[in-house]
Amino acid sequence: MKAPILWLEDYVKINTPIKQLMWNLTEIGLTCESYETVDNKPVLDIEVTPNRPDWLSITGIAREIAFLEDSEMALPSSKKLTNLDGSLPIEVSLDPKLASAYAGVTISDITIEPSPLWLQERLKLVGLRPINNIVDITNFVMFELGIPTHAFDYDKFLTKRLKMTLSTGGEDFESVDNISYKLPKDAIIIKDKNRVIDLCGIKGGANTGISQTTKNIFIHVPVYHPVLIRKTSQTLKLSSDASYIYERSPSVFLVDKVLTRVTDLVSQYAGGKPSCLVNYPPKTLKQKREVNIDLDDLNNFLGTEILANELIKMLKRIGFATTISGKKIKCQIPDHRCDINIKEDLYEEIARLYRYNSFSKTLPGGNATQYQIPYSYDREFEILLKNMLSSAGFFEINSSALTSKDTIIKANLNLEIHIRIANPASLEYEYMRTSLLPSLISAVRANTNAQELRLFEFAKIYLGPVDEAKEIYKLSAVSCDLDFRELKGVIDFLLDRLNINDIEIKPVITKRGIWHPTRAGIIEKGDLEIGIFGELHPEVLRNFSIKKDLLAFELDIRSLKKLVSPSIFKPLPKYPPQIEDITLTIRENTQLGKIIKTIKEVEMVNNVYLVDTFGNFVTLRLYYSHPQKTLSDQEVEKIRKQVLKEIEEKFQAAVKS
Amino acid sequence: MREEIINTKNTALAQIMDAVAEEELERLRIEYLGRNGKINNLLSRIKELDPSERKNLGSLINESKKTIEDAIKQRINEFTSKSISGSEWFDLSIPGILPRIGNLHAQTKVLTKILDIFSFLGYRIADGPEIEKDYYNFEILNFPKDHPARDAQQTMFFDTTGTKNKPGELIPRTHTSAMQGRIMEKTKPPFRVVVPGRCFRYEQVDASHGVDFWQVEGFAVDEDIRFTDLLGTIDFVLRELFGQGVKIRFATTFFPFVEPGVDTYISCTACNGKGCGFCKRSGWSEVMPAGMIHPNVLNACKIDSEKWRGFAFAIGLSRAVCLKYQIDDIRILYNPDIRILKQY
Ligand SMILES: [Zn+2]
Repeated sequence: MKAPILWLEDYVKINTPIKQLMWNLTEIGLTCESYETVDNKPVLDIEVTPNRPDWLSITGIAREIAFLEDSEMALPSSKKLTNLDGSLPIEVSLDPKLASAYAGVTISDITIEPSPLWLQERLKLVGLRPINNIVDITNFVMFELGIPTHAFDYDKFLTKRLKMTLSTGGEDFESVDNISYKLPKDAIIIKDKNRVIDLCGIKGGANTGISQTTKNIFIHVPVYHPVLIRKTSQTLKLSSDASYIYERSPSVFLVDKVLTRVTDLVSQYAGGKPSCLVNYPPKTLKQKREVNIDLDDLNNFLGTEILANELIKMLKRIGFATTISGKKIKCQIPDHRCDINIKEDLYEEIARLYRYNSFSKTLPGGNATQYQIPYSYDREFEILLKNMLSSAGFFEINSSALTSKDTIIKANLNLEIHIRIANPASLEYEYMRTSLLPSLISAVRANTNAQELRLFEFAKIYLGPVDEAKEIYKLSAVSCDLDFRELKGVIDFLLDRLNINDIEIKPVITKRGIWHPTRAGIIEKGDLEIGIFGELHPEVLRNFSIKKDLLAFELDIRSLKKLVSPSIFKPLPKYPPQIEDITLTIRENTQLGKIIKTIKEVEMVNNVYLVDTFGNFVTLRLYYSHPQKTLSDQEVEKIRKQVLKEIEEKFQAAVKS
Repeated sequence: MREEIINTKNTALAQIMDAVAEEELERLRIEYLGRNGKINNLLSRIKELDPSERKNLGSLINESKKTIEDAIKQRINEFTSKSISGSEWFDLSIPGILPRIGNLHAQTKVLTKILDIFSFLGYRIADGPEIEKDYYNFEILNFPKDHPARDAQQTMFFDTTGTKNKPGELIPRTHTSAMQGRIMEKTKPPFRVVVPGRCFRYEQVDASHGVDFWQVEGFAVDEDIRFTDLLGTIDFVLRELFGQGVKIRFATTFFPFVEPGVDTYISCTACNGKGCGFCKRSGWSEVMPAGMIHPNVLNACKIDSEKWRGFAFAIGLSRAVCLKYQIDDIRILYNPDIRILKQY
């Protein structure tokens, strides 16, 4: 909402410097972070929250300034319309479901001419182009009082019996600015005979618009149903100052005042005599306009010690009449406020006018949560994993959860399982990602010049279909400087720290996909898949223009969480182990992991490490030990024999001769 | 043999005298005096000799051993006294070799700090779906359908073709407040909960907007929670997070799910409110919208609003990270350039 200081000063004197005024307004709810200068005159730019349609008017803002400045506001007078001559009869058949309040008047013998300069100046300051006195006055009053009005050329009506109704859909309508529309269903319209003469609350019709030759007019002030206006405005993708106000449910109690104000200005600046009145006051709502509060409850809610007499005085200054009996205060809601319905609404009103910044600051007493809550999250585990990767030289990145079709295809992922946004802000952010790897590969690409790159991300992936969507946390990493064994070492280190042992590794075997078909493996424990690691598909790397070798892994957090077990202290061995290196000759295509696993299963073999490989030779370091004694050379000899027998039988491997 | 012993001793002494570093002496010590060293080797060989010679040569070997030992000891002392007497040249300015350690993202660090603060205040951490129902994102939070209050939420919608859901029923959540209903409808007060998470808005990406960004939602429900408790909690949290010197101010605002509604501004972390390039001259930044939970929300979650009261707030995490590190473009948080990641 644009609020020119010049216009505000028609109703209230402003003594506060503009910067301070802006913060004061912000503090009490009219967020004002900037102002612009039009013709050397400052115009405040105020963000009006949707609960306060009364602030979509200059007088509404002036009322708040009057409170801030502790001064009185001068509103335009609003005496009842009298001396109606009845020469221009009019009838409007109304529907309270479409318009909850309505007032209108015919005015005869007006003269169309430019509006007075002071009025033109004010319209220009809020960004409107002056047209003629009648149109300008309706716009001026909308800005002044916050209720839209519209003027018709009375002589262009085909009948004096107008009808407000809902469109059936498909009607042709030409707006006053000569644009043609096909109306959607359920737009509020006014018809004369079978013509649509008003697309209510959005735009008037060209067929009954004000022209240079207009003599007699009909002006109306309706308050329409907000949802109907909003739906029509959204369907047509057409909004106006009027529809913006109507969507926010302006007060139904002001239509008479507004009509009087318009008529006064028309009489003053276009001549003319008011003729016939249409009036549809919102009678039924009038009784409920009270909220009762209890002073103790108020103070208990706010944490304050407000006294009854100061409260009553303050409420009076913003237009609330009160009656008090004991601690109970009955508050009458002023006509311009439709946002106050329950005691909490009034508590906010009181708190904001006392100023939040004058309140003391306390911390809650009472109880902290005593028990486990639903959706509880173990962030310690997340941080444990992140710290482990960081200590292994990996840097954490964050990336968007949304991705593009292009990226999905480049990464050889299945587009079908991706959840799609129907109205993406850009095609770059159209799909929910099903893997963290494309983000990491792109990150490598973004670091073309970096040599020793190790990156990871911890985030959710999203698997469709959307109505049964799965959101799964993954920990993924890429490295351009680690070799296969080193990357696997990172995973081994991670699993070791989580006490997850005895994992199995199976080849990925997919024809396409993001992983290399042979140089990547699935890590499993029992039936549970822990993750995938290895090389990425060369085609994918090519698609992302990556020229380095890239190794990666993606681990499933839920599986890790299921398998993790706490570290239990084991006493150090009392007797030192016997250590020896054995060099074996192995056959081609033998899995070293399996040899080592087999050796480890031999009794009294405590540990086995891979020392070196060379061609078909492999050197292993074996640790023999016994919990109750130091092994003798003869005993070790026996174990060694057992080891060699096992691997001879299973792998046809033998000690290098 | 005698000659061999004397030769060994003389060679050793010559080498000891020539040694230029302490490590070299250690190597010589092992070579001559070690378990398999030359001296032991000689000693083992005297067993083979005539008993008459054994005694003489034995004591010669032991003497030689002592001489070598002393020489080494003396040279070590020389080295040590040289370095401790200050006459040695040693380059202290030589650059260190960095350990190969990675780093956590700024957002992780700031979030950890925030959650620590709330943990101190007795809050539990929760986490929930980002693919959300209209019901939890809006309806239970007192956002009527077709209400302009929804405009500010700039909502995206999922393509629900082929599912049992109507268009618009499933959305990427626009705020972590969606977790209020999910948790409150399953929990009996009193409780205090924080929910960090990703949110999504229909935005054109620029220096201050992202399509997805992070918030930390928090809410507390108890019998006698007061408005000043909310202000005090915000004040405590922001001072812990941004330092005691930060200035904080509150303003009235409107969200359908709170009443009264609060906006929280903190002074710019670069200029402390004076106005500078980083804060685009405003001096202040909105970081923590909040309010007392609207009775309609409590009642919708089957919590009796006559008996219980609560407050709720959300920290714009992405913005908080930017403020903490004086980052003037929110897109930096998604930038994986290693030169940026090393600065966090
Ligand atoms: Zn600044």
